[in-house]
Amino acid sequence: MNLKTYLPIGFLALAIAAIILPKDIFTAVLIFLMILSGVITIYSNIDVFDDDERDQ
Amino acid sequence: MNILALTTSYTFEFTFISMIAASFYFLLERHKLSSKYKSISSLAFLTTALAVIEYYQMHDFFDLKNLSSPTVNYPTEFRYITWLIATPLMLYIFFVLSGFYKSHKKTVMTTLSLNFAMIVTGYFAETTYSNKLMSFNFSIAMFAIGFVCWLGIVYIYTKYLPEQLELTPSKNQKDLGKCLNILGKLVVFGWALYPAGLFITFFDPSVDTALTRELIYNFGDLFNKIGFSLICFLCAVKLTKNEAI
Repeated sequence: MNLKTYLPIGFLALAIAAIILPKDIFTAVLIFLMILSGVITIYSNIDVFDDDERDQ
Repeated sequence: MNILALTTSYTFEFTFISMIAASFYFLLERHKLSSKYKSISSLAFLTTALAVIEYYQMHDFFDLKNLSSPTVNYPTEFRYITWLIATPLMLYIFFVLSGFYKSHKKTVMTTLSLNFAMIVTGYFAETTYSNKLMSFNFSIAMFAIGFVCWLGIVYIYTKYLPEQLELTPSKNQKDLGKCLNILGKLVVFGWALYPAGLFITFFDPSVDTALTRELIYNFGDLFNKIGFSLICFLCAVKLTKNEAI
């Protein structure tokens, strides 16, 4: 199990934490990390259909 | 100035613009798909384009004046209308992509019915609670029904469809499996934001929590709608390439 597997879990956990915890500067950090994990999740998955060897 | 209101307003704009960009992308890149998979582009475009229209309607709710006032109006109805239209389209894309829409009609109907029930009961749970129309127990019961429906969709996307895919061998099986794996993650982790956000507001009805929830919903919509459509679109591009082999 690598980091990529944990990213979607992190996305959800950070979002829930941001809603539940008191709203302060830490909320901004949580939301930033949530967005980052979401972006990396999508970005690291869009290349799964690439087949560089065959394309060449 | 309320920084939370400001951020929620800006993230709304961000999602709105991203949805417009995604809609254009699915149209402009349509030429990469063979005629068999052109409908994937149409469905992906409809998912994001309909969200654009609803986001345009929600614009007034995300005005700074509204978000900064002590009696904030939330675009609950508009959000649910968007989900009512966009989520069946999103779920249906994979059935078209895999060809299951012909061979697994019952599964399609079950998935769409569960989705409809999930959104309608979710709406009743939220609106009856926030407007004090019914008892708290009624709202919780509606929430529970919606939650079970969501679990049903999760089961179909993470267990049932991968099994069915294994039973129908084809040269696209591997790519469809990869696509389904990502879609399953989106349905589990991406969609879980909505029941979680609703459940938390049952026990913490403060304005700050509701604003953070709206902010999270904006990003939830962004990742779920664009992510779901984009993954299916890219899989369709790959399947088009496979046709040429």
